[in-house]
Amino acid sequence: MLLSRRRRNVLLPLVAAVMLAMLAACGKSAAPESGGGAVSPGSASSAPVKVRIQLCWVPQAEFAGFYVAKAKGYYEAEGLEVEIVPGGPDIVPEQQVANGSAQFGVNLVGSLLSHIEQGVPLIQIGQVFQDTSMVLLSKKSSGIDSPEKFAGKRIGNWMGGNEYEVLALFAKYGLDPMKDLEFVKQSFTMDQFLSGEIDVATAMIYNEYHVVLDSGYKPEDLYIFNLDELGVGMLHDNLFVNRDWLKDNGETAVKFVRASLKGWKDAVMNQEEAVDIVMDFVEASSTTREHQTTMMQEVAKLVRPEGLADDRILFTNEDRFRLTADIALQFGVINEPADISAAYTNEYAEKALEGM
Amino acid sequence: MESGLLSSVKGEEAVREQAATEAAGAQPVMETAMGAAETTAAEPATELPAAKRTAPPGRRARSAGEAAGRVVLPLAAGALFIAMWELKVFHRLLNLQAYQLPLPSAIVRAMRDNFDILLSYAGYTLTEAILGMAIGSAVGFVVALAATAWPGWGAGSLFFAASLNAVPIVALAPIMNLWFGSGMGSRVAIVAITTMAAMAINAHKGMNMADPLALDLMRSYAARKRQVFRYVRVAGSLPYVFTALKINTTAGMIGAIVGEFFISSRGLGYLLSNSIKVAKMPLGWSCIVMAAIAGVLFYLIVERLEKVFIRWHPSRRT
Repeated sequence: MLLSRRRRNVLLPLVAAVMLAMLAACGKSAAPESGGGAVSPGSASSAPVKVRIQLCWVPQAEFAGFYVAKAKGYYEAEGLEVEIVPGGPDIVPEQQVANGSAQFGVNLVGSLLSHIEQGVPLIQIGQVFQDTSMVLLSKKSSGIDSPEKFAGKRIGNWMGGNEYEVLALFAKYGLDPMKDLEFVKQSFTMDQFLSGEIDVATAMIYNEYHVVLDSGYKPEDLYIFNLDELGVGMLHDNLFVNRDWLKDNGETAVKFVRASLKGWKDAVMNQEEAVDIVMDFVEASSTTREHQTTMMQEVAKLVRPEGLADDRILFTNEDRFRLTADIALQFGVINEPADISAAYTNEYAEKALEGM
Repeated sequence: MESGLLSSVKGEEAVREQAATEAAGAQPVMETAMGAAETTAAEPATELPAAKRTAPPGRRARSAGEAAGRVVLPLAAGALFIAMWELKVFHRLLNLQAYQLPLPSAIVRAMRDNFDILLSYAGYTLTEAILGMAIGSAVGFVVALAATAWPGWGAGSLFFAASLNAVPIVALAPIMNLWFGSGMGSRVAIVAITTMAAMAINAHKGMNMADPLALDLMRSYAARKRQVFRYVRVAGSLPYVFTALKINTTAGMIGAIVGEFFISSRGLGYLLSNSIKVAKMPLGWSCIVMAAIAGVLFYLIVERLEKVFIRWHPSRRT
């Protein structure tokens, strides 16, 4: 018995050593793999440079410009072979770009700021939506016509980075989401809102709002809370890259922005054609052409709001970005003031414009 | 099969007698057999204190050192592990950044800053796991009971339980949300379904592993079917039942946490998935730590119960 215990004492460090060696082997084998994933610009000019863009949601008109650029060969013309990777509820584009699975990412600015604060080496190089695209909805029959009346109600949100503007709104009206109301997770359908399980729902103006309308509600049946007007609107869909990758791939980034810019201009100008293209990429069973057409109209307004000059599409507006960062700081998305000059740059959009 | 066994021993008195004594080994009510087994099983346990009393000082020091080693070595290994983690040895080995694998100090800080919410969410998730496991295990036990009492159609229900076990939680979660809403009910249902099969299969096995000789003995006492169940089959299945319960503590925690990933506004699973999405990795890791602590506590409670309930069983008499 004594002997066997002693032998175990010898075995334990041995097992630990073997496991460590295995871990080390894993680390080593993983390193070149991720290195291979991050594509560097082709040394031979003939071979297209392969890059990936990670979207924050499933294929839909929200991302029309990227699909148009791909379908019409704008990326190809720049010598890029672009793979557009759909997102989903559990995909965080910031993390996909950080680990090299994708070179470009699209998500919300608030989420980007939060990741940058955690030390993820990211930088925004474009702003797709110039406004917030989020609204809150309540049924007129519920009588909830102002945020003050949220008290004691069930307010839904998708969470996972979508909750900040709503939390900001609560804070602005002195509502504690842990005590004064029920802040609950909303599914990606609008069923909970339609069935009355939640009193106030979050909706994207280009998507879920129209799902509610399609379910038989008329705009006059609903109270629509515009987060921009309520002073808590944050910038939505952006375009960002890995800062370390950008150092050696500035040219690829310029080419990508240039082609995307062309794609977005086409999508805004010729929405019919854009919807045709998007329909080739969507999951046919989950959406309709009608829905994508409405979405395209709303998205066009976000990409090129009235009064925005043509050559400012995809550019980051410093004031809006700063406002987003302020709201993010005020309501705890980030804990330290963001270094705005390090968080975004228009340099690549400027260079892209020069070559057009 | 029982009757065949019966007839084969019929008339051989000596064998019959021996069988009865042996059968008693699986019988909680037979004091003599238990006592006999206890003395043999207790021998190694009493050896150590006895040795301590009479051992020369050198030997005692060694055993004391050994006892210390049993505590100190694992602690030292744990401390070394955490130190290596804090000093980013693993980060270098696995080529990770601090934002991908937060340092223990950051995790501790996140735990301290969010302790109230972590505690309340751990309680919430544990409640789901315990309720779900209680319901699932009870149903599983009834299925096993039925399958043993009426093997004809009961076996079908066992098969049904096993096939339910093959349904992945990810498929179950949305359906249960649809049925029971986004409250606690849907996770309780998920846990109940995923824990049922382990109990049904284990308990069924336990009930049918009853010593045929014990069954013979009961028959010779003219015991009724209900009594046979109570004293032999159910009692004999207890070690298997507790094995299933121990498996189900883990399965229950997994079911509750994964269920919360889908539609939930509270609980460790919800906070874990949300923290990771919003880049609050240290908070996400604190959820993992809390889930591990809650899971271990849950397991220890069931293990403690096992000791209380089947103290009579040979495997427990150490």
